[in-house]
This record gives sequence, structure tokens and C-alpha cells, in this order.
Amino acid sequence: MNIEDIRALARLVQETGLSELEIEEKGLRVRISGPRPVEIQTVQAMPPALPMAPAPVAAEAPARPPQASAPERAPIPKADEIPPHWKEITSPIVGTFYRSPAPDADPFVQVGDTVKSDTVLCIVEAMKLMNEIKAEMSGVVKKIMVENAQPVEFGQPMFLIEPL
Amino acid sequence: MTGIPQLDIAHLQRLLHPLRVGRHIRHETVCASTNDLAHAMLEGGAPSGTVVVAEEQTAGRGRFQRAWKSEAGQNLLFTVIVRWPRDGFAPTWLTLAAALSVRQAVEELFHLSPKIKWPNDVVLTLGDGVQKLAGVLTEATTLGPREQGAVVGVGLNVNQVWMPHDQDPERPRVSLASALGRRIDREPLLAGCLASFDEHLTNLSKGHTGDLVAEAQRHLTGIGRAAHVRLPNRSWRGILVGIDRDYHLLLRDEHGEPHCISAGEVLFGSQDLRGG
Repeated sequence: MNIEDIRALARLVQETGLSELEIEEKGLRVRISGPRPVEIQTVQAMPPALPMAPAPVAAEAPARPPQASAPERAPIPKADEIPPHWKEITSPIVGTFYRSPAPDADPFVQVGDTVKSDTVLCIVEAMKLMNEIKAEMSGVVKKIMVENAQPVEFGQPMFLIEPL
Repeated sequence: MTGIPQLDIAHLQRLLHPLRVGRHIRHETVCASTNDLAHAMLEGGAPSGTVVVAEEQTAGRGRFQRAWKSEAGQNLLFTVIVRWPRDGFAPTWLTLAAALSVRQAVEELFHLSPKIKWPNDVVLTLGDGVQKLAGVLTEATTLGPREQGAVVGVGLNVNQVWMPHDQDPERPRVSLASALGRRIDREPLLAGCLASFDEHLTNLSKGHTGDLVAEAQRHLTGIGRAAHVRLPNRSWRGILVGIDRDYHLLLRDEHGEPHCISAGEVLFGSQDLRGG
């Protein structure tokens, strides 16, 4: 796979409106996420465990309709202006991000909320397993970086917390 | 509360001795949800292997609070509390371990052949239909810098019998009593489920997931069948191939292209037609 192939795939994702496309070839896996801005991630493919395991095309999508409100649009410093002492809360798994425990429930936290180490920030669902994500620090929620019911990757930042 | 059949917990614990799972059992005639009660107990320090079992749930639920309706004293509604190191196994395995435990107990006790419907259901195939026998709902959390915890909830249809009009045609349920035509003693069945789960937990704590994958592959429903994996904003159609080593579903589309799927609801045959 060369850069032209990847460009062609990126165009395909844009043209078809796919939210994600993942291709594996010779141990190199390329994942392209849409809509714009198109992100291209490459990860080392893992050897398959079962004889029939194919090159995976990940399908990760909401398991329930988005209900909780979208992240607040509070004025946020640009990436290079984020104070270095703010902490990112990242997703420990690939899954779907939920801001509330149920579709009709209030979000766990809002921007501006003060949180403690045991405050639940969100749920990340993977294969119908509900993973509760706690703040694990004391601080103030400065930014919620993922829309409700959207897929998240391993290590993807979900919240910015200013430690107290 | 009179009239509601009650599990004989002393009998159950005799059957389970000396396993860790079931050493502590909290038995409620009625509670909102065994998962919610277990979650509070987990946060309050309850030891791993503690079981919460209820005769009736007033707010029983599946994923995202979907109601789980169960007649009091007829079924098995239980949750196992698990605690383990944060650098240990992924909590996803607990869902599969619980589903396989139910499957194995039912097969051994009743000589039925339940299957796993990816990712969290146990089903029986009766006639041409796949009917849900049990469901698993796992909720995981962190318990400080070194420990994580989960509550693994199971709803297993035992003695409840539904009228046809009570059935959701897209998601038909079946109980052991309706499949076998007789009432079932619940204690040996629960003991069988918990003993099998105890064994899976021991293997998981040693980092062994290969046996779970192999067992799931062996007992997965719908292999070779046309399946439709439905998500709110897209769907996948293809032939169900199996699972991979991370318990993702493998589907081969009409062009022969493989897809590895980590979310969605699997529908087969007539369900598929109805489900659209």
C-alpha cells in the first residue's frame, strides 16, 4: 500500500460518507475516519488467533440513539494554549462513548463541574460491556471532547480536567 | 411477599462449597436491580465472588435500562461481583464467561444445547427460531489505582412461561420450563452456573482467554448463516464466520470481504426480514 492508495481510500471515505474504513495489508492496518477532517491512523496489525480471522474492518457505532446533550461549546483554549497542568482523561478501550447512564438520564458531568477521584465521567461501551470511567483525580471539567454516542479509540482523549 | 417461591440459599451454598464464587450470597425477595445492588456492594468493599440474587426485580434491566420483565420467584436473576488487578484481563471476558457458564450448566443438567448469541445472550434453537434463554449485562468500573471491579448480571428464564401475545416477535424468549415441559429446581441450576463461572474466573485471573474463545467459537449460534448486524446508523450483512481472539464478530460480506465487528445487534433469517 502506498500513499496514493491511502489517498484513494480517503477520497472513498469522503465520497461515500462512511464514518470509518479500515484496511489491512501485509501487516499494516490503515484506518480512515470521516467525516472531515479525515484522520488517518496506522496501527500494527495483530496476528490472527483463529484460522479464519480475516483482516478486520472495524464497525463501531452507537448502540443507542444520542439523547444526552452535546458537549458544551464553552470557549476552550486552542491545543497549544491548553495549560500543561490540565489532564486528559483517555478511553481505555475502543468503544462507544456515553455521557449519561441511560438515554433519558442527565449527563454524568457538565463542563464546569467539580469532580473527585470517584466521580463517574462517562460510560464507554464495548461489546455490550458498560465501562464506567471515573475521574480518578480531583478537579474541574474544562472540556468534553467527544459527542454522546460516538465511537472512541483506545487512548483517545475524552475529557480535559484542571486539577485542584 | 408471601407466595413468592424462595431459593434455598443454604442448599445452594452447600452445593457450591468450597468455591470462591457464592461464598457470600445476598438473597433479596425484591430489589430494584441485582446489578445496582451489587454495584453499591462492590464500591462498599464486598469481596470478589459475592453473589446477589433476587426473586423479583422492580427495575430489572438490560443494556441502557431496557426493562427486563420477570415473574417473581420463577427465574434466576443474579449478579456476581468481581474484583481484580487493573493490569489483568479485559472485563469483556466476564460477559462471555457468564454466558458460557449458563450454557454449560443448562447443557449438563438438561441435555439441551444452548448456543451463544454474540455478544451477551444464551439462546435455544427451537424449530426454525432462535429464542433467548438468558442475557448477561456486565458493568465495569475502576476501584482505585490498582484494582478494577465489575458486576456481572444474569437473567436466566427458568420456570416462567409466556403467552404468545407476551412475546416480542423480533426477540422471542424461551424458558427451560417451556422447552422441557416441566418445572425446574433452581438451586442446582444456579449452583452449576456459578461453579462454571468460578472456573472461568480462575482461568481469567491466570491470563488464559484462549479456552473461552475456543468454547465460544464452538457454541456460537448462526455460524454459516446469513446474518444482519444492525446499528442505529448503519448495518452489515453477510455470512457469520465466527469470532476473533478479542471476541469480535467476524462476518463475510457478499463480495467475500471479511468484516470484524465490535458493536451492534445480530439478527438472523425472519428476524432479519422483520428487523429490516
